[in-house]
Amino acid sequence: MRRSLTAGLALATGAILLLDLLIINPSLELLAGGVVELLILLAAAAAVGGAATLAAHHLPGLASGGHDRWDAVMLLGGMGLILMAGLRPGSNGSSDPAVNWLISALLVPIASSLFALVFLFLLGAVRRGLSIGTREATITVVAASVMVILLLPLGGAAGAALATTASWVRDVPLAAVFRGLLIGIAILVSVSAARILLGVGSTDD
Amino acid sequence: MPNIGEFEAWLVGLITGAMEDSSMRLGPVSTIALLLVPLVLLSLVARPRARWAGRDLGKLAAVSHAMARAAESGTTAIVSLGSAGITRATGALDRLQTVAALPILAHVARAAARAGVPLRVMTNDPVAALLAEGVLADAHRRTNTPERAVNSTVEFVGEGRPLAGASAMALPGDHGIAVVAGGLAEEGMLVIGGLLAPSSWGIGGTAGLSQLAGPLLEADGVMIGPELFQAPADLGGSHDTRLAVHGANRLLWTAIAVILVASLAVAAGVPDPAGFLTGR
Amino acid sequence: MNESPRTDRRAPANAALRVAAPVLALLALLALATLVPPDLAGAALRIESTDRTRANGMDAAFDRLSDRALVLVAFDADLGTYAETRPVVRAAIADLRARGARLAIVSFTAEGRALAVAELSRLQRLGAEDDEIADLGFAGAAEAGLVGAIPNIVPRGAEGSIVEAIRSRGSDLDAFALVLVVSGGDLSVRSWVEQVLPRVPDLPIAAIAPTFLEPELAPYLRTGQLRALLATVPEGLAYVDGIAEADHGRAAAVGALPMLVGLLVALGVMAQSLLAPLVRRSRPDRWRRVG
Repeated sequence: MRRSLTAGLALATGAILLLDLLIINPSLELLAGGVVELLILLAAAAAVGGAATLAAHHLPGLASGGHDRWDAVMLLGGMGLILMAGLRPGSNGSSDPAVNWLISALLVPIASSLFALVFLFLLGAVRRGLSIGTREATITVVAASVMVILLLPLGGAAGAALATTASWVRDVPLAAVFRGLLIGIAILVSVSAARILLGVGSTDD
Repeated sequence: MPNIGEFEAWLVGLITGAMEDSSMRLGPVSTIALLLVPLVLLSLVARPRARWAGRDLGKLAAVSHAMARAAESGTTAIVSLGSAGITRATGALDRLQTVAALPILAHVARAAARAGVPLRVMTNDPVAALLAEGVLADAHRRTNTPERAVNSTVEFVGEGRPLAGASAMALPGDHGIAVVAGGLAEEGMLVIGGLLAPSSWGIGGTAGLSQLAGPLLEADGVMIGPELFQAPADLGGSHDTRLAVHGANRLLWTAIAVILVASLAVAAGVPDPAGFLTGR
Repeated sequence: MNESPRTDRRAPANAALRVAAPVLALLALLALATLVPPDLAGAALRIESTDRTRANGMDAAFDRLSDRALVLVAFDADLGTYAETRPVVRAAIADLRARGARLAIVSFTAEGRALAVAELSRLQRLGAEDDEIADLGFAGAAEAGLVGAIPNIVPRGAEGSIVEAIRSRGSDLDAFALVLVVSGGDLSVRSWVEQVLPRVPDLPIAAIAPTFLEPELAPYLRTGQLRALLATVPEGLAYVDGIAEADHGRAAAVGALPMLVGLLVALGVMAQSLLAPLVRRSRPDRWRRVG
């Protein structure tokens, strides 16, 4: 195993946090609390760094002509608007009414309307997937068709029968497949994380 | 003069004092289960014996052929590292998918560098963008194509899953190859629709359980669920990645055995084996 | 042969319109279905579940709260799936307020924070006072932020009677009688069960989640790690039905007719796509022989 500063840091912080999860000890809790505070600071620094990088990347686009200029104007204008609302003198920061208005009146509706397109994209993906004709796509669409029928919001005896069957499908076969996938993913993820923590193997492939 | 005996007594007292102040947060069974993973991995470090049989998950072996076609037709390649990021406020399972996608990016980048296909990497996390830049630089170094490095770019599209979806949808769609590998959520169909749908050949991989339909429907090479973490082991030369899959296989068989034994126990009338195993 | 410039410009526009026509027709159909009064279909259509087990479970979790109980609402919904849980979340918040609970709202994800701000703005417009709902802001860094919030969830500089009440009880998660997690995919209830419950084992947690999280979260309900869970549209609407009065009928209903139209369209597209290979249509522009 090749030791490096990065692997050592990962091993140390990972071990402290894992031990804090497993063992109740006041000193360990204090140490782990310090590490968690550091992680929060690092995440905040990464976010600020990312925003600064984005702005720096698009600022030259403002000076240049063409299509890129309008992209830069939109992006930098939006960033500037939110920053001004939160940082102007007398503002309450992130909970300022101006910031709240920008988020609730602009950001949330625009982003939500974007996700409304998912239904259409999914239908398009079904058509394209079946035109390729793979076995996986065919099985996926057949299973989805069965579930759509079971989920039809019908009333009366027919609706009750469909709802009962849908509940059984959700609780038994679907849950079994999901849990199998979850167990498999969890094991692969935990082994990958343990490999990083323990510094197993070369870090330079 | 320091007294070794007194020092030993102090050390023993420190350790026993720490042990007395400590208790297990979870039950003994849960604690052992959590520690099982690194123990299995360490045992494999000592003696990995299993033979490796690759399955070409995600058609990663065909990337070079696809890059050659892209070079002939003068098109480009786009890779998306998903939308979970590495430092974003998402769950750990999602963020580790981004880490798992980096070896896949390395493989695609080397193939693109050899074929001379311009490669564009998109991500919504600044740290993932930094790591991707390192991967691209390394790919050109390994393939001895530094003059082509200018054709490989990494783009940080901004924070948020909606931005990842919108950026993918805003692409002109003139790329030949698309690879989407990493954590995806509700914007997954937008990313896949924007990248894979207009491409001539593509790979889709995610362990996001709600988004498995996207790669299955749109991608030529598919990695779903655990396959995203297993696939890099097929790329060859990465002993530690194969070690991880060997370790995972042992744990999977253990999990299957536990499920079978516990199911038989429940059928035989043993009360609550799940409660015993989870320490509840 | 030369075509006139006007014909040249119209040809691509007509082609684009032909491609977009089915999508526009679908959107128009859905919009019409939304405008139809919900009562028109009568008993022929029904979304809410007849099985009220989970709805009763949420009621029972709220029944255990004392008067003026402190309830933490962890608002971490996703923008993409919030439309599914919005009626249930609004009904739950209205129910808690009607029972006299004092709410504190916090978020650990960026999208959750944006949605929390929107909901807080809505509640303020509806007349919610500062001594009913406190805004504890956003704590970043995902699980690290969640673990960091366990010993101290009150941000520096926060003010108000609810904040003072939380501070008087130690500022940690133990100060709350219940945590209601509005879950999304980014930081779901599972993170609360994994990170918070081992450290605060007696903390009651209830959850509202989108359908795709149901297989993941249902076991936590069975083991008692979650006190209550509403994770599908039918069971959520069964709960909403029961407390519609608490929100003065304002909780937005999910229309059965638009849902039926959408599902039938999806079924039609899938059926047509499954049958289309019978006429051997394929996409010649794909590189079929690669891989």
